[in-house]
Amino acid sequence: MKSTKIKRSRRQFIKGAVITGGTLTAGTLTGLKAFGIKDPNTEINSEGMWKSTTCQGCTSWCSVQAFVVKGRAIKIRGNPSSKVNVGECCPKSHFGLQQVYDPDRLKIPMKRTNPAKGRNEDPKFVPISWDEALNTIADKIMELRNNNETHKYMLLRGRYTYMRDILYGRMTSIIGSKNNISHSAICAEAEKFGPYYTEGEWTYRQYDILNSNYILVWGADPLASNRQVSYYLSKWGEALERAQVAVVEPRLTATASKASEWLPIKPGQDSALALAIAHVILTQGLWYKDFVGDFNVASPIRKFIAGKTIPEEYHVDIKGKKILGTTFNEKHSNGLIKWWNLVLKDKTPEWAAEKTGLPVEQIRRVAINYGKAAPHAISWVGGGPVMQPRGAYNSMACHALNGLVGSVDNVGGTLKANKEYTLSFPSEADFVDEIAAAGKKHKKIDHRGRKEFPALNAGKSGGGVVTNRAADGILDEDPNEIKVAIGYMHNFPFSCTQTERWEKALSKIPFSVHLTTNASEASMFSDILLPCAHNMFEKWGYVKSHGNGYRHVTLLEPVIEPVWDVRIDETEIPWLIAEKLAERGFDNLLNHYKEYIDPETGKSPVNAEEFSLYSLKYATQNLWDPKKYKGGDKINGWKDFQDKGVWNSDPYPYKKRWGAMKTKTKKFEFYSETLKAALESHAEKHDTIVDDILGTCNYQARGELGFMPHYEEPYYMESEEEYPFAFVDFKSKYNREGRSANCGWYYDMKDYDPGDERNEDVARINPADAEMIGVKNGDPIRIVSPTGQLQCVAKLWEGTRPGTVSKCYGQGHWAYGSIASEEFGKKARGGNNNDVIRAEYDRLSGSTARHGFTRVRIERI
Amino acid sequence: MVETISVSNLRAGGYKFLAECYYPPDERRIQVWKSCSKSADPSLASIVRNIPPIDNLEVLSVDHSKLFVGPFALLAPPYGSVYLEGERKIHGDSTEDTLNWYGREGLNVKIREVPDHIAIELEFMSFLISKEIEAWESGDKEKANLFLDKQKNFLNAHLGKWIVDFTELVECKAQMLFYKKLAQYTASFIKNDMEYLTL
Repeated sequence: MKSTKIKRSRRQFIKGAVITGGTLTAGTLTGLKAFGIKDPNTEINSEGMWKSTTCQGCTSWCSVQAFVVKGRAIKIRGNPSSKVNVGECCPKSHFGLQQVYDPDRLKIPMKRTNPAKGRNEDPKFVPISWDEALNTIADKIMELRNNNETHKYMLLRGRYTYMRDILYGRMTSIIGSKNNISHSAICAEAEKFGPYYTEGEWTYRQYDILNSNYILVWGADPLASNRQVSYYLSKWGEALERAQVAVVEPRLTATASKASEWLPIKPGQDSALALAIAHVILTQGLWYKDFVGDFNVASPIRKFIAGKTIPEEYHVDIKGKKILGTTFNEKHSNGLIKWWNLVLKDKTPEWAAEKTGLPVEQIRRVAINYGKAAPHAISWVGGGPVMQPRGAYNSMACHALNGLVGSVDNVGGTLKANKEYTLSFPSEADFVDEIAAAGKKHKKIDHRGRKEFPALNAGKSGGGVVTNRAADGILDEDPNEIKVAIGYMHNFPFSCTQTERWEKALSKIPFSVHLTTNASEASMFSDILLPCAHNMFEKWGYVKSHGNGYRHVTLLEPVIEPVWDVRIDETEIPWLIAEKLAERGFDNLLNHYKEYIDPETGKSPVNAEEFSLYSLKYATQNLWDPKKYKGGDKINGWKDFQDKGVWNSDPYPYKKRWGAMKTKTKKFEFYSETLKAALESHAEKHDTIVDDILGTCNYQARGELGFMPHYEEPYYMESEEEYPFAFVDFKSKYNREGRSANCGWYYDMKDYDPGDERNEDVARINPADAEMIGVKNGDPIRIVSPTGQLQCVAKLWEGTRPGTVSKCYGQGHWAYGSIASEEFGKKARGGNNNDVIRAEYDRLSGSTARHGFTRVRIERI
Repeated sequence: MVETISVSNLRAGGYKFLAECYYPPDERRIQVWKSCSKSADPSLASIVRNIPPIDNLEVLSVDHSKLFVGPFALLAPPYGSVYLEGERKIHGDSTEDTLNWYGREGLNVKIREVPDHIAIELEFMSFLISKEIEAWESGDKEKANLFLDKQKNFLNAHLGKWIVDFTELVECKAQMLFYKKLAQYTASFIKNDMEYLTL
């Protein structure tokens, strides 16, 4: 090696260089600060290995593996052991690498130094120690407990795993509050409404696409978002070899671009189409007799004829003897004739064509082809038709088609989730003291169960959350003020509609904490930020998911050393808070957490790390402990489970629920006795009748209609003259739930969303409409609704139905990382759809409405 | 040789001092900065003069956070890979290479930070210089020259390659004069040191 020669003297050097002197020598700052001495015996595997974990980029919850070299994650693939995502992953998984290694991540606990809160107030965050952060949080909680105000504590939950109950459930309960508010109702609760009130399952479906002959998709884009995207992306080609696909959506989706039919429906008119399809199936005799049943052979009426009522019973004279019979013998369904008589008989394709803007022939063709494919014909209900102000009945109408063609629980049809055997955490009941019990008697901040918010999750009045309403509860102090709030992995001032309500609500809370990987809009209004482990690379946890006829339980594992000083949101942080509360004389939470025993050693956790691991082993023991085996994959101990990263259920038991559905009648209910009971119970609770409830909640149905899938007009409030375009919101194939905005790849590849452009946030306008309003491709525009406005760029595109403007959700962050925002706190990059969508609800499910009710105008900037 | 050792002592001290300055400011740290600069050259004194009074430390802390910590968009990311790999992402191949550098010297990073953080790279330079000094002191000229080579090579492969972009950002985005001056000083210090090492 050639040596560097010291040619110049010290004197010369000092003269020539600006260099420090005097007392500042190497000896002044002694010792190594950043470095330790490396153990020479530590062998690091530089070859790298695949380590199992889970992608939570969307709710597919794919089991994945990260290739880790010397502690650094390099690339991602699907976990080959998963039978749900079958070794595949989608583009979103890879974005995880840009998230975990994002220099803008929250790195250490921070506190705000500017006490004034508001959108235009810079919080001026500075770093603090974990100890200081936790002490402050514990002091605030103790203040509530000492003043018997525990009901003024609130927990907001965004993205979660099934470890959620530790922070969301148990901690809130033991402190003494009922205000644990999940994000579920801004996601897709209305999607579960139809299946529950027809077949008794409050859950998302899986779709047996490889055995299906017809796939009718409503407002979902399985090749981009919705659920099991990896699986469907990998198998869609195979499915297309056998099945026809029809997509109902006002914009040309990724799925529509590969479909046999695209039905560019007018927003909000989905149930009109669904009912017309049902009408055609019945009048053409295409319903599936083995499931629905058939006309009585002795009945004089044995056909559905448009416009004609069918008596439920018939009378015939046989040899002078009067015989009474049931006109239609239903097998596994309930109320078909009632549904026909009260709803379907006049819902012809001609009627629907006027409502939907679709050609009569297309409606008829799709209906007949769908019906002919029975029972291997899927009606796939996504968020589009249901996350609407009257979406509950759209959900029922679209899902009821699966009943007509007998595809429910059937080969090539719609399936529920398979059985799995995870365990609940220990009950906290013994640790809820008098103060907490008194606090828990107060009503929830989101108004669920009130007359105007039935939120009928699984049949129960107020059984579901009304996430977006919590902002109004906080603002109006109704039923009480909120003094202390902890929120994790949520960003409601961005992700909820009519965002400014959340900005004001969070500003009003005197003390709030945000647990997150990246500071975001919600952080702007927080007092303390706690940095969280990234769910794919740094966290212990588990989630369940179903697809391909299986269910898997997949582990989230810390496959790399955490990059910064982060903690796990759902386990470590509540433990650390529990320790601080115990130091202050309130040890119920810590004592409860100590009951989460390690099933292998019988040891109780003594620190946050042990608690995190033991609680996971506790919940999943039945899956990995051979002594507790109950079904599915046979796994040989915890280490084996960690390595595999996933447990798979037994295959799907088709038709097992035929005749044994969890509805009132145990049948598939076209006339929902289950909904009738739920509505009557809610009405009784408020000392009124069902019709009053329906009116109060903005539904048009009265009487028996309220218990059946039926047509409701879209709930537009704006005038078409002033706001001529219906606004269509959609999700990108790259949206990691609105958290991709600081990933460079998102912008680099945005044009893979059909109609979108790289490095732009575009609103897609039909060229004919654009010409009328004088807008050209690439024009900067403002989209204005009565509740707000956003700025973006015009894109002229034939894939948008005339009269609508469609725009992807995800951009428009005004406070996030350097890629996501143009200028921190001041200028957003792109526009946030939620700024123009009014806070409106499908009140029966509690869901926040996003589709089919917003009108806007477009202004050139 | 005595002269070289003295120069190296000063150089090592300079790197160590700069490394310290990029950590979050607190009272103890500010005392150390001030004590280090008592009889320093005018440039250094001018940096330290810009430290706000202790009772107004918060403003310095807010500025430091926005520049180097967050929580929102980092104004001047203090990580080598952000500049060297053309993608706003940490823990790239260049980061891995710094770990190789540290590992070859029997070191690992014990703080919870990314290995190519400015303070860590500055401290590593100080470490390499201290090894050079040790070698001079034990009369091992060959070893001393070896460590001089390492210093030069590390600067050429890492710190020296991104320090200009980094310090320009700091100078441009900092609100406090302290960080503006620190950035200027860091840039010129390293520039001169790179010159010195090629002499």
